[in-house]
Amino acid sequence: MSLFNRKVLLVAGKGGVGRTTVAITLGLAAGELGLRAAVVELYGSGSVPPRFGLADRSFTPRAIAPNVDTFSLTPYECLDDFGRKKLRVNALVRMLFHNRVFRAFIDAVPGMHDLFQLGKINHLITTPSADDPPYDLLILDAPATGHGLTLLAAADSMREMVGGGLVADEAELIQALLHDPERTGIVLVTLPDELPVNESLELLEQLGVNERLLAAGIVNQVRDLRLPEQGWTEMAPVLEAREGASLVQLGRAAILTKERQIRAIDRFREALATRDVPTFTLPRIEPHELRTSDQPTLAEALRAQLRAPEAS
Amino acid sequence: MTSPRLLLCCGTGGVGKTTTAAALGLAYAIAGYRTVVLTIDPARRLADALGLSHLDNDPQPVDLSSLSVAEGGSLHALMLDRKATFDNAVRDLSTSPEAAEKLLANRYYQAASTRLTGAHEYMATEKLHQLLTADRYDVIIVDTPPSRHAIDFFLAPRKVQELFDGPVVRRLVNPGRGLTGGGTRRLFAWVLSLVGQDVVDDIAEFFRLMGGVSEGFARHGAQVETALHSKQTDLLLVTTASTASRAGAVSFIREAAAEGLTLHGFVINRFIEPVDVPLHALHPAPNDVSEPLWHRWSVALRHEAVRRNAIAERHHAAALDLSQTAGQVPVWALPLLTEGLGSVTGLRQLAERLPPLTPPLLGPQS
Repeated sequence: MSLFNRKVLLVAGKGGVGRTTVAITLGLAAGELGLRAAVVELYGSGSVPPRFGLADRSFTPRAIAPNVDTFSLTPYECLDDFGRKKLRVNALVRMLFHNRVFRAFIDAVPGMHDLFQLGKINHLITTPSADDPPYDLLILDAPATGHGLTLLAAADSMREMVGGGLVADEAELIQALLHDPERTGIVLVTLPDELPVNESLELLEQLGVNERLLAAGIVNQVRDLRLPEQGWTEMAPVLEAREGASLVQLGRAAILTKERQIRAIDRFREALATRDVPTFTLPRIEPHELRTSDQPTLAEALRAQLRAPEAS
Repeated sequence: MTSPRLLLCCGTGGVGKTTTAAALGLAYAIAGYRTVVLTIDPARRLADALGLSHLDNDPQPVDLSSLSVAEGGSLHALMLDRKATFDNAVRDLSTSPEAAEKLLANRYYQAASTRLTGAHEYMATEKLHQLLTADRYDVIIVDTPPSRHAIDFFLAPRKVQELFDGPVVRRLVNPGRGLTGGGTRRLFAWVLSLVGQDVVDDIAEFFRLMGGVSEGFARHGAQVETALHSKQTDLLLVTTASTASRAGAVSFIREAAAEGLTLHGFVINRFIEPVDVPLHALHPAPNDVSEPLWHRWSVALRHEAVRRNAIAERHHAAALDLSQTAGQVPVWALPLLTEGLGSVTGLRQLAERLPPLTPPLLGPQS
């Protein structure tokens, strides 16, 4: 099954692995393939717009590339939207959504915030309104807290706690979407080093029944360490004798880094391969920081791997 | 009893906060202090290095026998277990064992104690209260929980106080009272239609049972809040030189200042230092190595040196920029280790670059 044949891709991984960059890259690659896609930020995050010269976050979708939008959700915007579109409630009841007591109650129920946002995602996929863009694919940039997989548990815990009412009905619909490997996929992001790969593999073990949702692994920020394949053992003593220790240290550090990187990528790739899940790599852009103009480069790198026969 | 020095490692996710907290703990132990590190969710190798291979909610001694440690120095480490901390606090603060068991069995309690927004932060402060009052440590180092906003940790005690004293609680505990306004009646009809009677009942019972322990929670919260603002407490902001984590650092400084918290300094992780290599001298090839081999390696090494130094230059500028933004506070820098952190000896490589063992890279050299 091709990565982009799903409706929802949840980008997961520990903090600092570059989930937002990967989410954008997935969005741009999907857009180039002709899919209508959106990069969705949760909990009011607004990391995507500045990368495309747009000010601040926005609940209303905005284009970042042909076929590709971005928008950002907050629980209360989703609740308002739900009230307006689905319940067709009158202004008085909508005012209650803004009531302090009501909000404090909503804030105190665990998983309620997750649920409102997932409800919006579910409606965009299954029952879009006339004014909603007809998205083929939503890419969720999971919140910065934890690793993003708590979202998957939110609907389940609501179903456990809530016996009846609208929330239970919503939770059931969301569960149906999020537990369907045909429609929902997890993209697990990691970095090419021992510690991040260990953490990702631990995360993989914790997936439990959600393991069947795993759609792809992505090793982000892979360094292009161009070193000759052979000859270091001959070179090192001559270098040391002629130029002193600093060059030898530099060479040794580069070799160690390269070997560690290869080992880490291999371990990650193998762990995913045993689960029949493909692994892709994205290059690290150096020595400057990632710029907007680098995003198409990353998307092209991903597309090249998606085209490759072993990835299909 | 002198109150212990409290060092709080703050920062957004992914900057190496947990590793820094552990290394800082080791540094203080090596310098001769009785030190304890409260970590949140360490990666396995770091946990191994600290001897925390199993989850433990109480301080465990870390074996430092392979290191040279100043007289009196020791290191304990513990990993926050939210559920156990919450349960223990309920048992300690309840008026009777029966009341405690009833609360522990409540369905809403079971969900709330681990999943409630801010539960992680709040339980960290509850644990911190235990360590502060233990009278066993000179230095307490806290790895604050990962959160979207690093400041959340400092707001948690107050938020919980508000939660237990808020209008919702009063309504839920005593729903018959004050339901006179049409708006309120409609509101409750809505809440019921949203989540059903079961949940409302469960939550009402939860708050009623929590009524017995909430005073204790609020008292601990207030004590921790006082400790966080005391002169014995220092904030160390952990960051990396990347633009994104620096932006997070700058907004944290602003929020901390608004809360009356002062920043002691920065720790910049994965800091790249420039390399001084004689690149001009690489040609011609010496006689004992073949010309093509020498050429290939010298090109690769030159490329690597240029790459490293470009990054080093950017990192140094970032360190200066951070220090100035926060009003010339000291900056410590930790290298990106090429060897792992699987033991205390590995962790010592980082500890040696931290206070109190070494003066800062930038800022006042005190």
